Amino acid sequence: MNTYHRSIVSQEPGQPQGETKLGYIFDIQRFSINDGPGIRTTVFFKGCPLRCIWCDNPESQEQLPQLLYFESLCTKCYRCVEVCPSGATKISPDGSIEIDHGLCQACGLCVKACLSEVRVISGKTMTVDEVVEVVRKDELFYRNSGGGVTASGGEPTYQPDFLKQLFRQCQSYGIHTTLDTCGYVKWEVMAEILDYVDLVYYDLKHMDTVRHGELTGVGNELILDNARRISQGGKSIVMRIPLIPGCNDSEEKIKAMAEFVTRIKVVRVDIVPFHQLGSKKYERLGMIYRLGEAKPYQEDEIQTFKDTLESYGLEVSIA
Amino acid sequence: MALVAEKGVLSKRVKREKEELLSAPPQIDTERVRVLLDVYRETKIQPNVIRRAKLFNKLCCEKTLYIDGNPILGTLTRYKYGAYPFPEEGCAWMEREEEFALPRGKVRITPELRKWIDKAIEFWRDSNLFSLTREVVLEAYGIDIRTFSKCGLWIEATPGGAAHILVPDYAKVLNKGLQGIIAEIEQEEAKLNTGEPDALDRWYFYQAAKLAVNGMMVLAQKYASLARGMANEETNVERRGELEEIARICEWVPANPARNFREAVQAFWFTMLGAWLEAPTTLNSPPATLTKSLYPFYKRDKQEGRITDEEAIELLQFLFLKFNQLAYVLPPHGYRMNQSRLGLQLSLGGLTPDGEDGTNELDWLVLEAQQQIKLPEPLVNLVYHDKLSEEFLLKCVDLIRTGIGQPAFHNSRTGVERHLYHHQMPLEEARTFAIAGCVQSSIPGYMDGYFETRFNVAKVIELTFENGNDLLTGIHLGSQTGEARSFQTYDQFYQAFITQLEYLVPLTHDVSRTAWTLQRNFPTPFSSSLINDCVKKGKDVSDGGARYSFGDGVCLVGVVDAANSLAVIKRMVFEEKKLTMSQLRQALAADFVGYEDVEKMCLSAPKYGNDEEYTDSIARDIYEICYNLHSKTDHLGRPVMPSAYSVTGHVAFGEFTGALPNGKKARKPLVDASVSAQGGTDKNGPTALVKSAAKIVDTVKYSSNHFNMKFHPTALRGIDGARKLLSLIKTYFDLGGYHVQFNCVSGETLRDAQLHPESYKELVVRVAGFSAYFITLDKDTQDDILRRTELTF
Repeated sequence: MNTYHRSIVSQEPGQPQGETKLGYIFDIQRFSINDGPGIRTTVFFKGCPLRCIWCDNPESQEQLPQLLYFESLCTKCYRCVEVCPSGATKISPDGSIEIDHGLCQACGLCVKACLSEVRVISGKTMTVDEVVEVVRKDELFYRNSGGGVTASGGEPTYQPDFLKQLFRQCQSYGIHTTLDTCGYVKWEVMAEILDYVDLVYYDLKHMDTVRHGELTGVGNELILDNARRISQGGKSIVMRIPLIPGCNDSEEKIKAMAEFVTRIKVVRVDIVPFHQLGSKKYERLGMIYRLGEAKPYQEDEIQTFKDTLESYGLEVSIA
Repeated sequence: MALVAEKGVLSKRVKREKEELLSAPPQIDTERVRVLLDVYRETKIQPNVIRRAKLFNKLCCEKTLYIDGNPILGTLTRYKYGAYPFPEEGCAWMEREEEFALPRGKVRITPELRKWIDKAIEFWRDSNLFSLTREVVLEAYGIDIRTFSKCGLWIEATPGGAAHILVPDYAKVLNKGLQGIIAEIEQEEAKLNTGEPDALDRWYFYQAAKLAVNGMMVLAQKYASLARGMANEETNVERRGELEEIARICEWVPANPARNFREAVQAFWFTMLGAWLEAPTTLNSPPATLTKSLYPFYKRDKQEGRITDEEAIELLQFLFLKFNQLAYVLPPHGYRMNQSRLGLQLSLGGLTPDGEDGTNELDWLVLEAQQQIKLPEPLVNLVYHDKLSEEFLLKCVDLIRTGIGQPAFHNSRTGVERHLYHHQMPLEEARTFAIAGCVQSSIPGYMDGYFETRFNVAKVIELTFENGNDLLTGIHLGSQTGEARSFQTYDQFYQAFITQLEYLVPLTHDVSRTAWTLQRNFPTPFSSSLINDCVKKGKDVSDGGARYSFGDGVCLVGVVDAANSLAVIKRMVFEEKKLTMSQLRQALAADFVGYEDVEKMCLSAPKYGNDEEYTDSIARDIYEICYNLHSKTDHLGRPVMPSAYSVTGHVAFGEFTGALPNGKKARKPLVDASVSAQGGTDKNGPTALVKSAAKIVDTVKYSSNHFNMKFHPTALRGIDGARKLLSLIKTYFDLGGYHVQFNCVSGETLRDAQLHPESYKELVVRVAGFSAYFITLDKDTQDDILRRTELTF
């Protein structure tokens, strides 16, 4: 699984691939309660210009649909092998099932054949109207809870036209919009999107651009610059800091981020502590997970981070 | 408001009483059997209402008393935790069974108990309610109730001997005293001319009512004397003082108006106890209006500095402990269907007659008391409306967080509309409804409540496949609607299913009504004296004395299984043609063994609960068709409506239902409640489920709906989690939902409790309408609770 490195090199920020009328979506989650105020529907965009090593949605990185395989639940009935047209699914000498993700076309025939539901295709193309139809189903929940729609991913700004159309329509129906973004997008593109955004959830990962590149595949200049500009434009920003063991969690690095945040105006800082919940997905996708040894934080450790950030006069909450 | 400390803890004394009560062995008391036989032998030619009054009076006068450490006096039996056999309801099973069940455990029948039970059976064998009903139905309809029950089509084809769900006018007892009620009766009696039509019946009722009410006053005096005697012998000065005070209280109430909160609580309990002594059976006389009827007494004491909130909470907890001393006897088979339920519903919130928020400080204290003591009874309910304060709602969520499944939320608006629609009562009366029964409602002090048979709609899918025959027993139960394999269209199957319902729904209702007519042999003059307008009319509740009747008709169980099954047939057999009817029928007959691919197809078809019209509309149609098939009058010509809840009937019914197209395996539980989703099939999350749930039952026309949601404890974290839960509930109610309750213990906890029941003696979960101790539930019910999709906040 090394194709993504290739794709990343060729990747310009905010340059979408594919048709603009169709969006690549890997999930629409109703009753999302951690992606903005109130009860929300979160639309997960597939495709991301970053490759964060802690990413808990690895299926969101590639834009095209992908096969996920839950090996531990597999009964080895081999029906999938029989129906696979590309030869991607094979039986290994030890009787287990081997998947060549390079060959797999994500056609979904094996998913239909599987009796134990251990195969899932992640991602499909949808029109804006199709997404809006799902979003509008929960309008009354938004009204009663102060919720709305959130675009997350992957990276929503990676499909800017689709995102703009989606948010414009949602706003025309009176639905509150939240953009959850890594910020790695050309300013001109971001600026156009912001016209349809009520609230921004913005990731801040590391203040050192070289280290940022090692951890995410891209430098941080554009990201920091965009954050400043969004703030200057007067949009509400919630800054989200993922805390990753050994990557950005030293006191000095936390302080560097805090200093940056104090210079731009934010509503709140959310700490997103590292967890291992996404690790299994890497296996299912045939990808390698590099943080398998890292331990989740204890509550008192998280509290220490919170205290540090609060000492800068920031409002901090733990996501 | 923050009336009480955030982290209140039980007093040592309450804790000790709770531990003693929960470890007290269940016992059967045959004292009532003796009194029953004596009275029925002595009163052969008297009207039933007199016989029942004499029975009640004699039991009050002769029963052995029991006093424990609880400062509130009065137990049902002579034991700490005991129940009376109730052979009038039905007693054939008592002959066969060597163990009887109480809600919290089973009792072996010793030779000594057997002696009395056999005497009861000898007397009641042919004249109990079940045998009378069975005989009439056999003659009149040519069907055997027992067969229909054995095949899993009906539960409770006959009501209990006195299973009216009455909420006595507690406030009247507290404010006027039983002497005041006697005065009321005498006043009406004085107006009577026994020569006028029906007047003699009224005269008999008044005699019976006086006899019964006097019996209750005698019982209180007996408790007073016993307490006084114990005080005289008590060496501990403090306890002696307490016993003297108790004696003074019982000398005064319930005969006279209560003068303070302490007396009011004792009078409240004597009222409930009286109703249970008269009809020792489930759902009887819930403390529905506890906070509203006790409030004036609390308020006065509080204002005059005679009581602190801590003292009030402790007293409420002692009262809750009294509730949990109540019990009734049921067959081991009934235990599976009704386990652990007393049905002591207590309503908080709600509206005042003029439409304002009806919450008072005692509502807060009840939440706090229950949060500390966590007992399965009472069942705390919230009658929700938008005028409730945010603070009070958050306090309710706090109680949900403890994992005991309380309070259950009920929608005030739907409840009010329902009472207006069916009973055309004044708006001011409709607004005062409280929860009674399982998830039904009642106008406290004014309403006769009862419930008809629960009916297994999922079974009708099976009957449709088999031309009306029951596959598990080979007995013919339904209509002959043709061989399913010959059906060429979905519509043919659907019409055959409807034809079965057209025969079975009216039949079920008619059999139930017949049983309720026969139930009039067992009037309840004590309780009737406390229900308006029985005294005014001179009529027992069972004869229609109450101003209103709630009219809870045939209760549908398994509609979601049926709808999901129909969706499979529609999609897989006739639209996508992936299966033939014969293949599906074979797979069902084999319980999917060897047909795993068919099973997968069945599970992958659209399912109810995902906010999708495809299946939701089928479920809605079934509810609507059944509503239209159900007659709108009861056995006394009053309004009646079908109902939709399961209690644990989905487990019992499931056991007698084979594999179904929705993927249900043979003998496994049906889907719980009336609008919950089939386990694991609500894939679009809680908002989608809530929308489906609010859509399929017309909760104004139906007497209820019943919805269980389960959350991890982490789900309700923080004030933000609480607010989101409240938004979810409010939206469900805005959309027309009526009832919802929450389990929020984790799956891990429940699995561990299955393995180590000894460590989870106190774990309470909400089982489809009732809270119960998890470890006392049978394995299937436990598994069923586990299976319900765990929705994570």
